[in-house]
Amino acid sequence: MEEDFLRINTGIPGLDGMIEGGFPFPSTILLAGESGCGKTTFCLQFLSEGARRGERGLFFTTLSEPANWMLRFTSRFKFVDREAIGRDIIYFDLGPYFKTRYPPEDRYETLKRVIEEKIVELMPQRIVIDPITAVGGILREQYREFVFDLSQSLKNWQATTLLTGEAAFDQRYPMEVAYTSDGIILLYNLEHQDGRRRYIEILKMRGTDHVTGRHMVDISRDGLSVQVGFK
Amino acid sequence: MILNHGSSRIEEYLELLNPSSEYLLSFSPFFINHVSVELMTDMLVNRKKAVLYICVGRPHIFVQKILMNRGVSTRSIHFMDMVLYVCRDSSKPSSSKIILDENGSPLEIPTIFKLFKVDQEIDRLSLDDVDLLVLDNLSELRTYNNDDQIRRFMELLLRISREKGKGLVIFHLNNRPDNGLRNLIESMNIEVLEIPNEVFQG
Repeated sequence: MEEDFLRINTGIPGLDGMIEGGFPFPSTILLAGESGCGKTTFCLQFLSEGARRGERGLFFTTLSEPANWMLRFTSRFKFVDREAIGRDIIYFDLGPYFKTRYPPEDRYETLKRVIEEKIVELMPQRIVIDPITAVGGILREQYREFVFDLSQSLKNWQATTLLTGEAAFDQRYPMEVAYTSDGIILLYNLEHQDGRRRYIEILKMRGTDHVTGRHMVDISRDGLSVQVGFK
Repeated sequence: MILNHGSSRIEEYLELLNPSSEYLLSFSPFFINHVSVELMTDMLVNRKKAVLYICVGRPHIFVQKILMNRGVSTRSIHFMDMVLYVCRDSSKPSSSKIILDENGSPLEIPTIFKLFKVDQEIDRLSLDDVDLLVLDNLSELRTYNNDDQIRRFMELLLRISREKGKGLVIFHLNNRPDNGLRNLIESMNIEVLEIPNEVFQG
């Protein structure tokens, strides 16, 4: 019997049409790319779109940035509704749980517990962990198992989650996250003649007949938008 | 029969339910956690009912944690897992039911559904200390079973609930039109309560 997924709009103009209407719900999606390619902006658009539709969003940062710091940089985007921050989009800093006051052997369970408690409390439909790869430096050899557990658990909480990450220099995307993800989206910021151009590529989207290849991305005060067909 | 209700709050929708009757609650998959919490709070806390909660869409531990987070005691709720918990939870062994094949190996999820182990397991239950059966959720079974299998399963659930005098609440995720299911439910005289998204967003 053919599965007919519920899909949620990504909030990125042009992208929904490339993936049969949106991300599958529930699912975990890896959003990978180097620094400056638009990962965090993408995530904020995703959560803002949810807030606009009455869905709750939970933004976990692993960078120890206070909420007002993030807001300061993102408030110039037109899609950001400041009223929604703290009400429909909850920002939560995982940074303190990386600190040395937690013994290395406790960090796995502590992180898992804190993430789970926040999800249980808020019951969000959209979740972001930005960047998940920062956890790798803390958990080291436990990282792969942690990502596996987290990915399975996130889907059972009935949410669509974006996990962002930067790849090692010899990889296109973080392998540990990719293998448990239902979708992989790559963002590029490539040298082009005198400057750089941003691109998006959908590498994997389970259960979805998605558009392939690299497509140009613009970032303006409206956020990211995909210029489908412009390669 | 479809119950129409103009309330703006989920609690007021659930107050319509008679715990001795049969219902299909139809709502968006976005709000399945909300329905679980509100229904269980109403039945366990307000009405002091005992519930058999059958999980076919996800392991029961996820429902249990949400209830516990909201201070809802799960002493009067019996969970029945019809899925495998694939996460490696090292904290403690689960007491939930896992379906095994004749060799003692866990069955894969689609196999459970195709072999219709759910009905075989439910048929064996005594239900003496249970007032209400909750199926979370029919849509997941629908993914793996055809119309005839769903009909037979529904007939079994109804037979059990009616013979033993228990209430029955079935969750249905309304993300796709399903006229066949709607006609089936109505032919069985199960009341349908459609819950709009707006009541979760207050």
